[in-house]
Amino acid sequence: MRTKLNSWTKLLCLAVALVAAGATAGRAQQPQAAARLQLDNEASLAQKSSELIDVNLDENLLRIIPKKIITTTDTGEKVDIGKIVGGLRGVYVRSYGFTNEGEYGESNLTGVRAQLRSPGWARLVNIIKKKAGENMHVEVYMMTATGRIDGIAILALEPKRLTLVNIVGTIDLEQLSQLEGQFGIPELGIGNGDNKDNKPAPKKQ
Amino acid sequence: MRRTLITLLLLLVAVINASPASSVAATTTAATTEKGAEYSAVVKLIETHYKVKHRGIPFVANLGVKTAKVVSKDARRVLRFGTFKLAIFEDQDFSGRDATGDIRARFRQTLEPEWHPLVAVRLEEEGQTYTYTKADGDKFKVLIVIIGQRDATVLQVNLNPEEFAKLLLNPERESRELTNEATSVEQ
Repeated sequence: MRTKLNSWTKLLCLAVALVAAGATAGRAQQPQAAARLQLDNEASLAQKSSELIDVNLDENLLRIIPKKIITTTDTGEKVDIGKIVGGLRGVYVRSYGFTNEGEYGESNLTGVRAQLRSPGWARLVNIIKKKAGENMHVEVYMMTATGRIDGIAILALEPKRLTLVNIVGTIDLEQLSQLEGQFGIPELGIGNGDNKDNKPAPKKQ
Repeated sequence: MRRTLITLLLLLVAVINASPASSVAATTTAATTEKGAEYSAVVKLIETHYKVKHRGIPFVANLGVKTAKVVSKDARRVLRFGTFKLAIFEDQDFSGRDATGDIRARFRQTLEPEWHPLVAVRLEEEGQTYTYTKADGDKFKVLIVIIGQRDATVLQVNLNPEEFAKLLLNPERESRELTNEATSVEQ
């Protein structure tokens, strides 16, 4: 009887261990999944805006881009986009243009900001710069749950335009600046040194 | 008895661990439609939504491709996507701010999830651009809808991976270029 009970216990332990192993394997993929933001929570913005840009490049599409593909940036610099794309799992852009100032506000950003307060996300830079004579406020966040960069989020707030960019995968700021103008990512001037006011960001949100 | 028990437990573990993946697979294989049905459905959708009529195309478009081989350098570029389907709506009314909002929702209902929404753009001056893609063997189907104030086009092409990669790098610009190439050959 006792031997039979021991066998049952061993079997149960084995089952629990196997389930736990499966769950751990699933969690190993989570940081990059967590780096993917739900940008469509702000669907009301699409209705209110007079202009809209919505780009969705998932991993399957990014894999099609050749490993070496040289493009030229606005400054004439040659960049191997293929090399950067190799580390990416997704590029998502939402840009909303409005006819008048004040047509969007912080209340429209609660969904995104809530996601950016979740573990792993940290604000990296907070930039205020002039674009076409108007103030542009750019916030760059990074997901670094695994000790490396698993994703980037950018919030670019202008009086009549709001742009949200979410890049999932391994990328650094220099590569990010090289991606500007590609994949529907607008020219935000990140890392080009012409910012009027770079404010140091707090370590953690 | 014990062997049966072990088998059952292992089966249970396998089912628990595999369930998320299998549900994803079930989702992605859903909804296969008749060949070319989406293109026709999108053209029809524009007609009903804006109450407009398109100009008939496939025959003219194919004729254009054959002529393009010997006519112009610009036209030859269209060979990068070979045959294509093209519907043109000319000098009709596509304004109406209220209508533009839900045409996108109707494209979504018609095309997703089988087609992937690559880019949706609505600009005051340039109008609207919607590009959907779908893998098709070693090629990629691309469905582009461009709606201006007075004109609209629906274009479906098959791109090889190299050309498709160009579209991915600059989705909006390349969508417009592909459409420009198709329509300039047709004229």
